[in-house]
Amino acid sequence: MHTRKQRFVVTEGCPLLAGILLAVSLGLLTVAVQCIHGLPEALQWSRSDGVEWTWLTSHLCHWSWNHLGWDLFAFGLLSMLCLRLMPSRYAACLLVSSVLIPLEVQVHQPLIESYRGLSGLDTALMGMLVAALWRCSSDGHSWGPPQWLALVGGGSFLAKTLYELTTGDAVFVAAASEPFVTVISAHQVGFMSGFWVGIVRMRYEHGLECPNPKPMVIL
Amino acid sequence: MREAVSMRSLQRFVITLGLGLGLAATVNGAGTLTPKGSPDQPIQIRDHHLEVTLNNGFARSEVTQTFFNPNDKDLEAVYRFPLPKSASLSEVTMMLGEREIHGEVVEKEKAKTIYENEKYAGNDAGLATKNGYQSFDFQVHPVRAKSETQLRIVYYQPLEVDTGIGRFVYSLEEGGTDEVAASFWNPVNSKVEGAFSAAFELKSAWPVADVRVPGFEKEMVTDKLADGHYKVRVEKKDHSLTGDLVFYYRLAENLPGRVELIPFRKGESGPGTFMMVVTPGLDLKPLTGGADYVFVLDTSGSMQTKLRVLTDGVSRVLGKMQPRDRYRIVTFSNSAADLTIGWKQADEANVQETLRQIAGLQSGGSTNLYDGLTLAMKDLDDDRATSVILVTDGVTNTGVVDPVAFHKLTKSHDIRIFGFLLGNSANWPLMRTVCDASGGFYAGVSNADDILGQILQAKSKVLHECLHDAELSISGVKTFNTTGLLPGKIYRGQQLVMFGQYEGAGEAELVLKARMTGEDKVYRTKFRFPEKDEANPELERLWAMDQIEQFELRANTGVMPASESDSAIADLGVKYQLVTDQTSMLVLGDDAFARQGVERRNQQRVAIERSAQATRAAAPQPVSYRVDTAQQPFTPSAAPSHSSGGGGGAGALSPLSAVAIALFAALAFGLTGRSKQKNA
Repeated sequence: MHTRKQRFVVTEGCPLLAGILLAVSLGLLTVAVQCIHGLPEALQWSRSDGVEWTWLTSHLCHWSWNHLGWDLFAFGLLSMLCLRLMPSRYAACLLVSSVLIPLEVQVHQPLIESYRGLSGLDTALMGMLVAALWRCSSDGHSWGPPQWLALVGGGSFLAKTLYELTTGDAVFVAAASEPFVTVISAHQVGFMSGFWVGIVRMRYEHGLECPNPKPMVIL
Repeated sequence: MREAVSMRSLQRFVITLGLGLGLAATVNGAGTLTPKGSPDQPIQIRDHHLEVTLNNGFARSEVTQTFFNPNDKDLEAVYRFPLPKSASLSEVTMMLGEREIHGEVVEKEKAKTIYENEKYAGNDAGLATKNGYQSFDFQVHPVRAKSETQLRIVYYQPLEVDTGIGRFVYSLEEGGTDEVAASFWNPVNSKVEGAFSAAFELKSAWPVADVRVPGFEKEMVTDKLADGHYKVRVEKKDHSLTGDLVFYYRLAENLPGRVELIPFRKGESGPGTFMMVVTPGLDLKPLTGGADYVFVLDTSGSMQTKLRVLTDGVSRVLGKMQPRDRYRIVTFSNSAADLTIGWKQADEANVQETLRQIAGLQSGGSTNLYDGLTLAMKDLDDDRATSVILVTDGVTNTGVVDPVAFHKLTKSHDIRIFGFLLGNSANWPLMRTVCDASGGFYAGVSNADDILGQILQAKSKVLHECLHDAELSISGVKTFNTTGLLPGKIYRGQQLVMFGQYEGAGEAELVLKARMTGEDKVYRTKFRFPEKDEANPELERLWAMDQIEQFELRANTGVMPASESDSAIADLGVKYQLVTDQTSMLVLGDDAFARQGVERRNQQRVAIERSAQATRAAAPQPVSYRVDTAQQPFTPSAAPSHSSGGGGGAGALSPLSAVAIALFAALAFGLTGRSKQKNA
């Protein structure tokens, strides 16, 4: 029988620390990549290059500091919450979505030549956050304010997707003033992959308990 | 036209052509001219500094040069440099010790008379004239004995971006086609005794991936200040002004198709001026199947050093043609000759025979371009698309030389002419007349160019579909004196630059109608003409220069009598203070201007421009003039700007979406925390 502290270290502490390390590393890497002249061009996913490892590195590249700034801001916020609610799935969420997004672009967006940006991963984290809220127990009940919030989040994203699919225009993106084309499907695939990673129940799981607002205190 | 020549073979052709141009033995350049047989020592060029600002769709070039007279008597310096295409020379300043004297544009004859009068009176004077399409000439008097005189000139040029590559050429190399002038002015002193420097500042609203100055890789110091903001400097000692300086900048990949509007309007009264740049994001497909090609090659005397290379290049192209293609080789000097005697199927045996023939070509004689083109247009097959690839370095000086006749000849056949002009002396106004009339294009090729890149861009256009019957219209706001609204054909990667004036302000709609592979295409966007925008007063001069070129084109094609065109050009030149074939810039002291009764229009105009330039220089970020953000006419998925042919990018989060996410996150944080606290 594990003590509370031991249980945290095994089931939450390690993934949480690893996740924090991963999030901070990714954040620093995106800034570093942007600082080094020519590196975004080298690390972006490019159809003509045919290099698969750029599926992973393309998310670290951005078209401008403005593009990077907002992407990174959202990434920081969402990472904090996802690590708080589902630290053990954080890395999986990033890995799955970072592969699926460029893959989708490669297969279904033949006119898109290259891909860059963290925003796809942001929407993946958003998807996982919605899943986490949906699964969050509240006052020992399976329905409560977190579920309502999950519905609002998921519903908003669904409305956004329907609008974009219907009109062809992107919602909530800055691409009109930016020098790149908006890849609407990157958000859709990102959200779905994040949601899937968050919602799928493992055999050993019995539910997700909302964490203490100051989890680090336990350590 | 269909794909006939493989990319590799064209590359080889271009490389060989470029190498040959670079190896051309006799290269003259910009410099002070001393008449042949003069007992005086040539006037020295002490230093030469170039400052170029590329911003808001146009380039401002400021050249400062110091002359030194090593003789014991005062002399007149004559400085000549090749005329940059579409350049509007707008400032000439002479610095004589502590004193500065400035230029004002007046009618050409009047300027010459005043200059001569002032010169003989022993006063300081300068005169800048335009020598046809070939050069700017600066006369400076006096360069005092054993003294220095500094000359500063400023000119503006619109910038064009082709397939995502911006190119600025500082023309210095003389084309070597004016033998009469060469025999009179000898030697030309092109050597800079002291420092030569060139500083480029690029401010682009779009991210720039790279910059390049071919031939100056070692001397080049690059400072990247932001994604679209670069400062590049090159410095050299003992440099000769015999080679062009080319500055390239490559925009980031996969930029969207776009419409940019740069306006200038002083206030609510009076017309505004605008420059509109349309970058169609259209995915034009490569052409397949056989086609006919006529290579029309200049073998006149001035091609002596380039001919061997040119023929070698053509040989390499022929060697890589598809058997289903046909070709002819037409050469011209005093008269034209059909080297292949009719069409040849591009099979192995024919190609080998033609290769032997062109290996024996000799240069000599004058340039009878009309004869060459007439022969090229014989025996065309109506069932096959035909392209004429014309390569020349000079002026047409034998046979029919009237541009109107060229225009009629071109219009009478269904072909496309692609002109490649080698060096800075080629008759580009005539080439424009010919190529525009055929729906083709012409490209200047400098020895300092990345020749391979230049022709690859051209190849991409020749071997891809193009938009036909393209027509732009602006409604909602009254526009007039516009140019460039009827481009006819739009080639792959081509950017459309239009100038015009507008009255009033408000919402306007731009519509681009065109046909692509039999299908009608319509692209539209809405934007706003501002009531007031004083950021770019130089636009007035650029617009006026564009109007002047249109008048020249109309006169060349016989649409307008030459006398009428000349009069209109003189009026525009004086009003907007531009050096043209009908106007010159006179440089005098304030007292001399007052004495001669010359109005100081340029002084006022320059003051306004300098004020705006200071404001722009202080701005931390380049201004984006994109106007189609609300309604993008070119759908993102079909918006290539590079040769890759596709759009691309990212999802991207706006500030609004980031705020929404932050709100959601805050709610999630609060709810999940409170739940646990209750649990506990």
